[in-house]
Amino acid sequence: MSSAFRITNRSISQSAMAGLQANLGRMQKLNEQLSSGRQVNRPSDSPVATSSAMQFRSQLRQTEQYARNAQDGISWLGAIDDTLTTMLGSGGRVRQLILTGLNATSGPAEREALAAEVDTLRSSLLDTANSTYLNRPLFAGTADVGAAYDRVTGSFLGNTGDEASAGAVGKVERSVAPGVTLRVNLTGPEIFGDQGAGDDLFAVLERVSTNLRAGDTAALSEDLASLDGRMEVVLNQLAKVGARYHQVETMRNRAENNLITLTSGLSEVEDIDMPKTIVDLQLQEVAYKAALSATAKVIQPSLLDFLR
Amino acid sequence: MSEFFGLRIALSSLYAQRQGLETTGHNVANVNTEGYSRQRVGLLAAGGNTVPAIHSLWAGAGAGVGVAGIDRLRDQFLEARALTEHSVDSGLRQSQQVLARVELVFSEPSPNGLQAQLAELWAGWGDIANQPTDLAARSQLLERAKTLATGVNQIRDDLSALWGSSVEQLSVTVDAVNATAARVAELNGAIERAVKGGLSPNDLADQRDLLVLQLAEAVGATVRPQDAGVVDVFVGGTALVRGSRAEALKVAVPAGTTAGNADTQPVQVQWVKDGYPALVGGGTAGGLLDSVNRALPGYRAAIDGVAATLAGKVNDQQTAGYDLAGAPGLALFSWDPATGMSVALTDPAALAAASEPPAGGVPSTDGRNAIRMAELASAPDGPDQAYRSFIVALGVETQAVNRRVDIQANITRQVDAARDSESGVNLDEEMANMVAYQQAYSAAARVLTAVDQMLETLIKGTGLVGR
Repeated sequence: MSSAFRITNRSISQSAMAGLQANLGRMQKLNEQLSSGRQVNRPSDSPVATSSAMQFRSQLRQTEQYARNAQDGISWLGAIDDTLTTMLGSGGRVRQLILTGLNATSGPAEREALAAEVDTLRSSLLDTANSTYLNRPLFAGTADVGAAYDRVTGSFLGNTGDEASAGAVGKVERSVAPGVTLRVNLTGPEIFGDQGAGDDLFAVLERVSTNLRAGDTAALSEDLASLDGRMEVVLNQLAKVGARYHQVETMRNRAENNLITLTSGLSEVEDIDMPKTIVDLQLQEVAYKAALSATAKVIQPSLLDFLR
Repeated sequence: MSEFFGLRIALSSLYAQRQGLETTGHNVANVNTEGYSRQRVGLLAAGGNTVPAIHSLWAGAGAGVGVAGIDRLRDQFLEARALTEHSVDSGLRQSQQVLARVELVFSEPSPNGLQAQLAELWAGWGDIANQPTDLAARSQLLERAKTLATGVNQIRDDLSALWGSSVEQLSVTVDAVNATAARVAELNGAIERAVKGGLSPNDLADQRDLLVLQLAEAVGATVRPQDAGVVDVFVGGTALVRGSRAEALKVAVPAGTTAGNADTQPVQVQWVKDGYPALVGGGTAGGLLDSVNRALPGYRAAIDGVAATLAGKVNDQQTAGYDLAGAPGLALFSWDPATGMSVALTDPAALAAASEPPAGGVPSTDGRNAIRMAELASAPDGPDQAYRSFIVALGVETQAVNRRVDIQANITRQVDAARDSESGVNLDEEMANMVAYQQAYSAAARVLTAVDQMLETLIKGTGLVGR
């Protein structure tokens, strides 16, 4: 207001009230921020910060899910790794049995015992091949079947993935980052060999048992080579699983790091700077008190007080 | 010139000063009366006889003082300006109120808003992708989808309720306008009679102008002064009050108008006499019309757009996949702008998590379709993006209106201060005037005494010759 104005009592009290109102308004805003702990309480407080906060929150939830997905993938790969390691042990035992069988000194009764052990190992390997993770057969690919291999005939019931194809057949995937999916499974044929060719692990074991009983050492030597071939494949796959495990774990760690970054980002956008807000509130309080006392001084006197 | 003329002069001053003192008293009494304009006694020095005549005895002195009238100190231009500014101010405030309530409807940014519910939905698809055969994960997703659909419907319902209450508020405002206009017409009549009867209409005029200001705040009314202190009040160029006759307004809501279609078949304020729409440009009614016909339908359309995108994207992805039994996926959401959003599926197994068709009668358990679904969260044309940009637009609009309200409040305050500086009562000034009138009254009384003494000298001291 310029001083050329004629000042009246009403205008003084009105402008004083307007000033006090503005002061109180600022105090209320600071109070709201302090009590909610957030500096953005509605979109109009800061449209840009609102957008960032919403984006941060949505990404946070997504990243949480990516970390969960990766953790689940790690569990899958861990279960596969355990299973394959057990199989290597059984395979080693079969190899030993074959070597014993190849020894010319072993008689029919001894060979029968060897063959029986091989049969037991075969059925336990079949059980291992039917391992499940959370009720899903580990090696059945993506087919909705109860078990990967038929317990009686030993035939593969699941489906197998073609690593090169873009399709999802046989591939159990985990989404670990935006647009990044990693395969976390292996199918039966990839580990134990294709049943069509008749040289899958279970067929080999069946031949070993037959040849042991027959004492056919020439055939047994052939079987030994086939078994070694199969075990090599298992070893290769085990190495692959290890590499994937590492990859998924890296992605999980990355997701967890992102969670920290995103959380602090959200907090930076949304949360108040507590000491600063408290100091601001105190400054505002001082200003309010000053305004109050100034108003009290200005409104009171008039010429009336000085007449007579 | 009569010897007694000096008495007349003193008497005229006594009268005039007394009236001045009374007016000062009236001003002091009304120092806090809203709409009161301070009054001043217009004093006029009474000249003597100015018509030349041969035997005129006029000596040249004045004939005392007379009261020309009691003036209402008020600046007509400032008043007109005040009407405009108050009209803009109350219109903006109305928009601000509606926007603040719209912001509450969306409650963003918060961990409970629609954005968070969307994020939960996408995360639910992530769980399904991890365990496509797990019915628990699927049931969880159905529940989240239901929560989301309820959230969308809630927002639409809240916006409709806000629209309904705004229409109601509009009709209350228009009713008040009609009552005020009738009262203004009545006061116009009283003022005209007072002026024609030679009385002072000042206080009536103050009352009327206060009501006119209310009309400006309600419907953005403007005025045109007429003869005899009467003002005509106009809304959008048509007379609401002409002299002592007032027209009436009404709110017309076309049949079937809702928050969803008010932008194409708008709610109108119409003249009762002929049903023509009144061009309400400002004031509370103007702000409400803007909210009812533009802002709220706009937000409804925006949230409907988000809902349509959500349903479209999710349903498309559903139909691209295969459910737990290997059957092609069916739509998850059913969306109809008239009835709102609902979840069409009840069987958790019907969610299409697999991207591959069943092979040899065995359904696929690959979760690739669910993964794609979860990735809709960050799709550039997905519902999240649409929702976020809408919330930003709402924030920007609200912020702009808040700033405009602040600026307009300042302008209005300045105009009011200028008006007050012209027409408000200053007690100091009144006290000074009071002292001046009091002194003048005493002085006039002294003149009376002096003239009296002079006459006494004349009467008692003369004509004693020969006594």
